[in-house]
Amino acid sequence: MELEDPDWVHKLCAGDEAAFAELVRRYHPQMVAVARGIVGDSIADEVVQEAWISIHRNLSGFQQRSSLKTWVYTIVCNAAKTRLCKEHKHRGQRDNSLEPAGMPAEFFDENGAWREPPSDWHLDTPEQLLEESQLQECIDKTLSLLPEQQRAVFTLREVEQLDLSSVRNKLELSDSNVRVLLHRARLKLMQVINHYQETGTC
Amino acid sequence: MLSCQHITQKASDYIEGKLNFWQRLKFRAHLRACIHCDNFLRQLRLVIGYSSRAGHQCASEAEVQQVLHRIRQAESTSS
Repeated sequence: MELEDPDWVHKLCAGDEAAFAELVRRYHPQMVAVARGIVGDSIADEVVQEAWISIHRNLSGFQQRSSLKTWVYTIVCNAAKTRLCKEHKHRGQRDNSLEPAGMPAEFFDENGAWREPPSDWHLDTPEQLLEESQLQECIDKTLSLLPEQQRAVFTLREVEQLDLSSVRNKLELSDSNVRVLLHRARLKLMQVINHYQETGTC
Repeated sequence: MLSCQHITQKASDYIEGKLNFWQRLKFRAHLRACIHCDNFLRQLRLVIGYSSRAGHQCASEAEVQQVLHRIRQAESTSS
């Protein structure tokens, strides 16, 4: 769902409360996930609330030089980084290893060739997968268990479709970190989907 | 030649266009020769296409109301 329709954005910036509620409905859970990746779980909710106050206060001056989505995430990430600085806190749960992320080693022989090749999937389009409500529950659960930074990178790149350099800047991570974290998150989801395809359960 | 294990490690970089020319060439050569890695890459693309939509969550009405309530509180305090 994109909330970038110019008429809708115009209404939002003019102070339409229903449009603002829609903005909150659309972005709040994703903003919390991103804030957790910067400040950790304990103060992420507070940081996001501060960001909402700032967004509400500054909407009338939103110049539309960037997309609304980019603007919203810039505000929440800046709020999180400012808070981190103020409290001299360390960043949230780190997942900084640059070890290459791949399928588990037991899937391969000593030459790195498949010992257990990927099985064929009978649900092989995003639309077919989206029809599976139980799979959606499995995905929700898996996402809730991802390390905070992995989830933040996944949210900005996969869900919000920001480009990698923007994700890196917003989360203050290195390029290689972002790529490794993203790949790890994708592989985890891939394993969940694979298990679901094979067994019909999480 | 890249191994299958390397392919699974570099697959996101390949999809994101982060491999250099020679790496991309080697990656593609492997895919042409290996049906399993070709299948793996297809499935990874499917995961990306699916999770971009399945990963999105909407706030509940209670969460929305809580955010709005706190904004009103903050604005009444500052005015």
